[in-house]
Amino acid sequence: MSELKSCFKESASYLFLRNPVLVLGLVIGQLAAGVGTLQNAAALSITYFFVVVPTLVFASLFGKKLPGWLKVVIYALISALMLVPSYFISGTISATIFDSAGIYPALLAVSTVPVVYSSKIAENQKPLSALAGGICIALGFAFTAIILGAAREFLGSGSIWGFRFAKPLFPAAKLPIWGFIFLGFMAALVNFIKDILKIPEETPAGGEEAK
Amino acid sequence: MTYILQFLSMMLTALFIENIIFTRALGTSWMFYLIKHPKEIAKQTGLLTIITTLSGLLAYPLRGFVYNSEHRHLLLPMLYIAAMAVVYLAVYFFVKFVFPKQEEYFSLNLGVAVFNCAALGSLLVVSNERLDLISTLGYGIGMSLGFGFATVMLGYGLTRLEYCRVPKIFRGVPIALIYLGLLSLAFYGLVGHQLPT
Repeated sequence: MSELKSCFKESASYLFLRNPVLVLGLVIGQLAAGVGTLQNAAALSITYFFVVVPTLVFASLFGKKLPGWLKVVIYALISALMLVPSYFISGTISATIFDSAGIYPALLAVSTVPVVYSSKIAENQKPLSALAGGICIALGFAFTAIILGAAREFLGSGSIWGFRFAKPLFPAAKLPIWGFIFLGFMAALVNFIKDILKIPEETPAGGEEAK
Repeated sequence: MTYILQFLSMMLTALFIENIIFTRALGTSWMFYLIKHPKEIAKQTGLLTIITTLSGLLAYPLRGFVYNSEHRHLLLPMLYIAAMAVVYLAVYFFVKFVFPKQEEYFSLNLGVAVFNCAALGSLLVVSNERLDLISTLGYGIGMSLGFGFATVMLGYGLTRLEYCRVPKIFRGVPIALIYLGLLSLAFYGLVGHQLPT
């Protein structure tokens, strides 16, 4: 139990200070284009959790036993299979939640963490560390997705979770273009907080962690 | 002649009007990686083109089976990922036996070139729009070339930004995202769209 606790302590930075989207620059496209509403954010967060956690744990348990050329195929197929539970669990929240997010939940199955991070980092971790890392990465993604989805839905449609209570302030907010710009400002806010707390910089997008 | 024109028009549409990065934000993280490794842009774009074309060809006759299913949003990506896995294995063994000197490069880079959002996204877009085979090939090739085009454009801009006095908190990921957003906005207007009001 204490080992699991220390693993979570090590991985907790993925929630904010090493946020996979805002600091490491991963999964940007799915958020910028796929999260226009809070419901989209929920669908993508559930999918990302199911795709990332089992793949990372599998990589840590069996990754070193697999031949190098086969690993990426196995990881991609596992994360593709994990779309099935995420599809049906999303369906329990709202029947159309997965479908309304378009192609973007499915794209999470071939995003950087399940395909690349699993073979570069998770393979060298203990299963408990991989589990804690996966959960914290998924929660960090969900944190960003929910804030972005709520802000864009409110500005773009004047609603939250489909309940309209104001006039749309900025209808263009739902376009992918503004997704990039909102995410840019959110990333700057994280940098601002890190600057105040005097925390050293992490490898940004395009760094070795991105591949 | 009609087929050639259809192929070219779909390719140009995917390259400029529906650019994979500027309009759909597919493969953005991979693009940021390539910007830091400019020598890889041409090779990876070429690989992406081959993978998209081969996967599209392989999955085209199969997609009819899942089109009418109520769960097609789930089944189509799984079908395409399976097709991409087959293409990955075919390309890997082809290179291993025909160009053994290239095996090391391919074993390091082929996985990322095959299993990425740009490749899967272009296949899903094509199937959602129910394009025929010629249009599918044209669109797939145009999307891959559009990815390379966007990477070069963004890389050039970000290199120039390194010489500017960007405020400390905006350095790195924030300025890259804002620049990408503004460039996408410029493309959005350039192809004749208007912002919703």
